[in-house]
Amino acid sequence: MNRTTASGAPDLGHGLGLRTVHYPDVLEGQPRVDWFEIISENFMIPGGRPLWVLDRVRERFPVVMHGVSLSIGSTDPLDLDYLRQLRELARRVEPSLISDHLCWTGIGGHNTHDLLPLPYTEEALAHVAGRVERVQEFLGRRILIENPSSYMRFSASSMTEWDFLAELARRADCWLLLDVNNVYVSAFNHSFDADRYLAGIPRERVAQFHLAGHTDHGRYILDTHDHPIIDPVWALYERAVARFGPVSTLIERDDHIPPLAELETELDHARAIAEGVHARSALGSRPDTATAVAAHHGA
Amino acid sequence: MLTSDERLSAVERLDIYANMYFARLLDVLRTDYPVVARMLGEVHFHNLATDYLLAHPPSHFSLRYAGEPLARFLEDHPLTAERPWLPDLARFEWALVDAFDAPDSDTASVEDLAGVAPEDWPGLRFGAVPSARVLDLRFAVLPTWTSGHDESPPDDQELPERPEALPQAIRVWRRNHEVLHRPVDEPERVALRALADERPFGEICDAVGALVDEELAAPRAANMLATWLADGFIASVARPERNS
Repeated sequence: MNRTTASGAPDLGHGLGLRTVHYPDVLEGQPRVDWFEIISENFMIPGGRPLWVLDRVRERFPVVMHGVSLSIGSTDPLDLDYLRQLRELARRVEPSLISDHLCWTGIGGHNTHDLLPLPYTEEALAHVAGRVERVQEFLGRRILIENPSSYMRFSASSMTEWDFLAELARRADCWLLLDVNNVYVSAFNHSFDADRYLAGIPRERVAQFHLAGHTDHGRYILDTHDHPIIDPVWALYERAVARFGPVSTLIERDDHIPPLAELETELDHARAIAEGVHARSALGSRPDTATAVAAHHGA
Repeated sequence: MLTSDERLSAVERLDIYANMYFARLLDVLRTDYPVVARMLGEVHFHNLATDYLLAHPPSHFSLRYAGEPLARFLEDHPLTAERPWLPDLARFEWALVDAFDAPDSDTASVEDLAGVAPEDWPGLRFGAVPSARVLDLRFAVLPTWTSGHDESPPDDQELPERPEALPQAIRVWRRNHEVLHRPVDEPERVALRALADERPFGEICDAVGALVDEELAAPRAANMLATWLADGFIASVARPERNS
């Protein structure tokens, strides 16, 4: 599967998060999964079984490293100890991609272990872009920044989140991890149009998609990654594939994790959507093909 | 500073984050200290988690370490007044967490002792595996832990017996991917102390000899060593250096 992608990143196909409950199936079976994503911090440990499993998985599959503690938006200095351990893990894993979130996790040395949103201002943009550049230089490669799901916004924001991300990617020369579910969740929570978000993200920057489920609390949606993906998110995914082309896609399930077979089926659905979009665009871009098909049917 | 709208006020929005923060950390503590949680019950555990998080907000990049100070915190907590065994139980559960992802290492085996001349035995030095820990507890927590850490207990199962006030030393380590533990008696405890201090085998025998009949000390120490080697508790064996 060697499709060229608009971003220049590899198209890994369709993948799943590597979860401990699935270790036996992944190690001993033939999962219908093209690649796996790990939470980097879970493997930034001194030793033990998790790293052994990771080595075995990596022997057979591409692996992507997804972090939650980079805290790129914080005013605390970048955590060099964290970056060193992240780089060491990358040397071990040789990941296809490395990503983290547009957020801050805490200040004053505290870690809330949450992904807190930023005000979208010129000052924040300059701050984050500078830090992304430093991280990329430290790691010796591009990273992906993921759009967060959020429940609050700052009155100081002078631009939209999508404009902020687009400009960040351009200034720092980084990639974007477009979480389609997060777009849907944030669009609901902050009453904006999800399609405007997609339209505002530059095609050549999106190197990966995330898909996930969430929990509807009526007045807000909580990004819980503990449910199947719902139809409106599938529809948004289809529109995202149509806009951004073939892009590595991951389904995230972090809680109430079902058997692997169930997630494989969900992943098949994502594949089918992406294949459908690809097939339609291939037909549509070959007018001679369309004419030949029409002639064959005696039209 | 935060925006409000007709659906949710700024305070309600901030509350979403506050609730998630607590829920996430409560979950981590329950995962790392399942028997402490079980013995306290939901209400007390919830209150303990609240007090703990106020005193020890996480500061490491990984949730793996968020629960580390809990045993120390429990020493001065009101819940411990009526449950003096609580800190020791927490200490044991945390030792298991630590051993799980301690550094990997090779292990020595009894074959590594083959061909050691009798005169070289007193000078042999041993290194324990990186995952090795020895706990000196004032309460016998193992029976409580053993019956309490069953992941799916039947609904009608009673709470485990509270630990008795009997001093107990336990060695914890990881062999391959399995975390193991074993209670140790007083002679083995002093032997382990000498091992941790990197004392040569002769001094380990002396330490044991302070507690048992002198002629039994060396065989007793040799038996301990054999068990440690079979357990995968020893990483290295170093023969004494020759004086030239």
